[in-house]
Amino acid sequence: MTDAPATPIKRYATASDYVSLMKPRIMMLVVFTAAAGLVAAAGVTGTPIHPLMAAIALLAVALGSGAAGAINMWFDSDIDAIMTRTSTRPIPSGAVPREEALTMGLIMSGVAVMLMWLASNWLAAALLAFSIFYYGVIYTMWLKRSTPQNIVIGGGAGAFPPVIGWAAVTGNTPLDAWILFAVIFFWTPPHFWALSLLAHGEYEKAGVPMLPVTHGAKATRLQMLLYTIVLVPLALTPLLTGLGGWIYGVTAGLLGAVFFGYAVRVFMSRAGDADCTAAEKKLARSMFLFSILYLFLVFAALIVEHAAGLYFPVKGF
Amino acid sequence: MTEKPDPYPGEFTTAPQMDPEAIRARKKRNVWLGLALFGFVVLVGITTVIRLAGADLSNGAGFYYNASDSQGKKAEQPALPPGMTEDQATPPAPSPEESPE
Repeated sequence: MTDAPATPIKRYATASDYVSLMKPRIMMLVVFTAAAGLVAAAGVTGTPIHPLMAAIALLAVALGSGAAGAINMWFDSDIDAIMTRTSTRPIPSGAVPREEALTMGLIMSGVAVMLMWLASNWLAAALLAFSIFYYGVIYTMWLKRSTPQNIVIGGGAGAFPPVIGWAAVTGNTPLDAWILFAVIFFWTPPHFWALSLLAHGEYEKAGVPMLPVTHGAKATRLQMLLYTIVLVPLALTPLLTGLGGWIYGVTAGLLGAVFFGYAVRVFMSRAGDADCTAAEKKLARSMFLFSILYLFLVFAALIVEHAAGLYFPVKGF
Repeated sequence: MTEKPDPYPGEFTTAPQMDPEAIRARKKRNVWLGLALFGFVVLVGITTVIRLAGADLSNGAGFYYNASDSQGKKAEQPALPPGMTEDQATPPAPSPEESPE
């Protein structure tokens, strides 16, 4: 006797499915880093911004991030269906039709850019439009399936929010804004590869050329260490320009030391190898989670300094 | 008695039926969509009000909002020809004889 094939349970899209399309967890980090750029710009340059305009600018960043997420899910629905981690997303699970996700992404992109222009200036709106294009087209449609450097170059998309926040206040993008961009840019590879060390089998199954799939776990662990070696001192450069004070310096220094410690331990381990132990897998996962905490606290330190009036410059720099 | 002929292929005899769960889900989605549209209109309204509140809409300042105007900077007037004073450049007021009775 043979079992009858399981009939998929019919699902009807709810509002939460559409929220899932916007990748809300990524959106939170994007909005937070944009807020840090916005607050730091106001603190450093003394340029005032109307609180409501600032809130609308941040909402525009959130909508832009959601739009890029929806476009990404539309294009990647084929590989999302193959990977276990992503198979429950709204499109592969059958809750939301692909065309709806694309339509939603495109409309939200337009709304986000327009709101940003209304609330701030053309430069911030143009940067937001470019970052949506960068994530939705350059990363998702081109880099992701064609090169193991996909998340290195594609990381640029996630690095734009603080620059957008800065531009929304001042109408320009000075060196300080690009330092924040660089911090996120160099943070992305060790952050993402820590996760892909655990899920490289899934990426291989879906035919996505992530670094652990194409070059192996050992080469990935080395690359993670190298990017962390660049990131940790880079995160201290705001002390040189006056963007960060004592609170920022201590936070970035201590957390950077811990991040570097994780990178060394993961490099020395066999995490991602076929014969790695559960403890080594756990170590890679811990590094992934810590990397999120690192970015959150480093940018939170900037917000605390410039929003709460706790900026104490580091003398001697 | 003759039977009613079958509808031609592709013709709907009845509208496609949706089950109650699908109707409920659609209703919920529509409510959220309506709220999102309303929110968008409110945001555009708020932005416009805040922008106009800081703008100089007096004569000569230009129709369009200019950030520098809101900081008290007057719109630049064209330079007078050499030798001409501002009094000479001002158009004369109509004399009483010229005014209609």
